[in-house]
Amino acid sequence: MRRAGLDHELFKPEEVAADLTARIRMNDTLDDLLKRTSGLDPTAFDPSWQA
Amino acid sequence: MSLSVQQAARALRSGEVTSRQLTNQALADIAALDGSLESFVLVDRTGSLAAAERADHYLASGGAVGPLAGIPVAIKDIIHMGGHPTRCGSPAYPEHPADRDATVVTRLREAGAVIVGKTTAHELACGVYTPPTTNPWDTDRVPGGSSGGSGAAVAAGLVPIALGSDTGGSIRIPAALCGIVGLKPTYGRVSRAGVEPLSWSLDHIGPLTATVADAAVTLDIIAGSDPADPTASQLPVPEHGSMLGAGVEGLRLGVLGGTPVEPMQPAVEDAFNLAVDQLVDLGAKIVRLEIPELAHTLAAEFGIVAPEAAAYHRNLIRASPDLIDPGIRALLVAGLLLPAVHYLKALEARRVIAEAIRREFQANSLAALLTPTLPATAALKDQEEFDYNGVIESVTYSYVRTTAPFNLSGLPALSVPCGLDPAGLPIGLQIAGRPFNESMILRIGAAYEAATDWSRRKPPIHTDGKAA
Repeated sequence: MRRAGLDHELFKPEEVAADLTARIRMNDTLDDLLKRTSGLDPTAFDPSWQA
Repeated sequence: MSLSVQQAARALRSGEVTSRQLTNQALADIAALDGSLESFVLVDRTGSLAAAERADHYLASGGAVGPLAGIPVAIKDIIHMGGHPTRCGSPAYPEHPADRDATVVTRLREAGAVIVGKTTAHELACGVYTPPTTNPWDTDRVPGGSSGGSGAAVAAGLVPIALGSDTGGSIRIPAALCGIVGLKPTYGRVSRAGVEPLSWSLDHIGPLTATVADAAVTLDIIAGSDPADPTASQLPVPEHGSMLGAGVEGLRLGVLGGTPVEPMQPAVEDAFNLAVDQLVDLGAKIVRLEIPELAHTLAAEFGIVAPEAAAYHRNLIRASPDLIDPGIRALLVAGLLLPAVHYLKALEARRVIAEAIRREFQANSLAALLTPTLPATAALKDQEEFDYNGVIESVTYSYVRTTAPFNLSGLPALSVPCGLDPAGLPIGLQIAGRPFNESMILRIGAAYEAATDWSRRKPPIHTDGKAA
């Protein structure tokens, strides 16, 4: 946290860790949705370029 | 002011009333009622009366005037208004005035609108409570958020139009809870230049209004390309009100069931089912469907909001965390610390969700998709959770799960009033459409509005009754 600039006394490492754990758990529920996808393709040109 | 925009515009053009009179009335109504509502954070008396004088001059000249000439409007206080501070509902924001208007404010001014002030936003536009604003239907309850000041101001009749922003439902939530119309346009339909972001890939700007026709005319004015916002679409802007009287005969409407619409309060379910029946009576064809991918709405939404908001507010969270609400602070800290893979997964999930909605529109030849705007009515100001017959859910998640699918997909979505619960609290009907087809959802909303009287119901705190 200190390396991220979050060194204010308001930040309690235990509370932050618990919150992050909950958010990671929520994010992990996306794995089921994404198991059949092949990832974003940020290099693909939008079709509107062809217009 | 209890006149709709169309009524006020007719009265102004006929000389029956002047903009100065309308503006003075709005200022007097705000003075009389906003002490208890707290829907405004700034009232620009001097600027609005000067704008009213200009509008009256143009109207008296008999020349061409903009469609909002002389009409009082308000804007959410995350939208820059030159010469006035943008506070974003946050004590951390500087007091110095914005040096220029947001594009949407410029467009309102060019259309002749009289901007009477700025409305309360939930802190950093990141919340659904909007303290200290009160819901005009029940002073113990929230107006919704984050555009809660705009919702309360329009519902109480202080102004007929107020602009809001919508990242996960922040226009439609207060519209539904305050019993008015709220329109989140398609992503890219309205410029965001000069608007403080929350989550740039999900943020939308749109109107909260007393009627569907007022939402249409406001969208006509604020929509369109903008060199100052590269995400603003180049597509031409149609006249959104041109099809308002076309009805719904023969239109195929999807009725979304399952997750994320369920669970919901029984009164919401009853009102929604009745609204669907009324649309059937008007000639619509109903297709009942479920979209299982929408079960992941909240994970995708918050997986995107946290890192994008943290990226924008990175200096604020490091320098002044004590000036940020603890819940929002936790979101921003998570956005700074979580690995990028979580953001990328959420972005990918968003694409899957958008594709799933598109699949249903295409497979069923839908003109629009219907849901209750929210599964619950207005929460008490200190309420943290809803209890759906034993299923406990936070107020925030409840209010976002039905609206956020259309932020993730970027599709246009409209909320219109469709009932009151046994406590007399408003219920909203959400109508979501195809990209850049706001005209269709406005047409459906107008047909429903004309066939029912929900939009004509007024809350206990209203300029008509002036109870406060």
